[in-house]
Amino acid sequence: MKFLLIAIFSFLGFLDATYLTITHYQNSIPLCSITFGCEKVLTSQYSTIGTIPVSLPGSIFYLAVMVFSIVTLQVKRALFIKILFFLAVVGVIASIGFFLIQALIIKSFCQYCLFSEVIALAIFILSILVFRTSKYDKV
Amino acid sequence: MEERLTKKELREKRRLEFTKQEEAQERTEKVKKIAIWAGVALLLIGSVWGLFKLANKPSLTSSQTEIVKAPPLTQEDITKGNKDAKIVLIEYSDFQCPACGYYYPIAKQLTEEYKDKILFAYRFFPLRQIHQNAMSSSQAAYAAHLQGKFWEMHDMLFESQKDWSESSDAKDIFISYAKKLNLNEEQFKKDMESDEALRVINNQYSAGAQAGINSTPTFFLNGVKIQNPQTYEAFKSLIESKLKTQ
Repeated sequence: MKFLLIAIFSFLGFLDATYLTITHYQNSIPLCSITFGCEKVLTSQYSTIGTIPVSLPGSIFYLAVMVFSIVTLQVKRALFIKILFFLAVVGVIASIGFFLIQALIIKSFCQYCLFSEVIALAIFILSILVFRTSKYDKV
Repeated sequence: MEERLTKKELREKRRLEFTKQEEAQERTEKVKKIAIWAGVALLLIGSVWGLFKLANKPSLTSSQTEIVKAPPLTQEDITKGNKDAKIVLIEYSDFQCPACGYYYPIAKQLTEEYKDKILFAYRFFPLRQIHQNAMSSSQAAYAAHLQGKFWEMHDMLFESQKDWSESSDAKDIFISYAKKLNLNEEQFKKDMESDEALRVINNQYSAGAQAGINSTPTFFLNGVKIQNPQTYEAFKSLIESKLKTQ
């Protein structure tokens, strides 16, 4: 059940990040509400690493989490659960970083980014639950 | 003897049936796995395709279906192009808004290409709630306007948007731009701080807000709000089709 939830969350995260990646490469600005100042965030210097928009590794990250959660749904192997947990930790650290950049440096928020950060946090919490129970289940 | 054989046969039969069942189960498991992965792959491909469509075509919003009208042109409007043109393009913009910076080269190219066919008007819509230098940049542009160099300042502000957007002494930067444009510096400073500048900017802002503008840039073609075309070509074809119907 938890793996299914992780799969669903990572799918939503994938949609979110991929939408931003596509709009970045098409040089268009996603539909955003001005009240959050999302354009400010999405066009800031922190939105790219070199020429790569930060949403691209985001898409890959969510895709990887999704694949591993579905694999684990089928074969509950400790290694897969470990990988999943590791990914979730990386995701939540990156998300905290992005949140702080928005809050402290850019002082604006973009709803797509906030959505992604909430998803990463949810995946992290679920993976902690999974990781803890999997330790006890080892027979 | 016969009975025993049958028992043995029976046992054999049962074992065979059991392995057959196991095999069948394994097969269905395999099919199930393949089906799940195929489903996931289809879902991903489908959703990426959908996202591409969404990114290409801004979805229909209520603002596109209901007609939003711009306040009519007045003497106070800052324009360029052909004053007698049948097509009027009004842009509500904020010098500090990155999206406006994105549209700046598009609008500039259009106004150059269609300078005989359209009248282009710039209206102040500084989003001061989110942009600290939105107001002062508008004031600087207005002060340049009073010395006849609005468009030069307009271009400069957009081209160097990144240099002053987050600056705490943006006003000094604007004064340096005024010097570059050979404006009278003292007059520029005075005009920038004048009540007249505030009045014009605030008037345009509140009239725009009343007309229902909620984002920048917002373009009005012959008084009617349009959904921002995403590329130069799209904008051009919109104007071309308007020219044909005139």
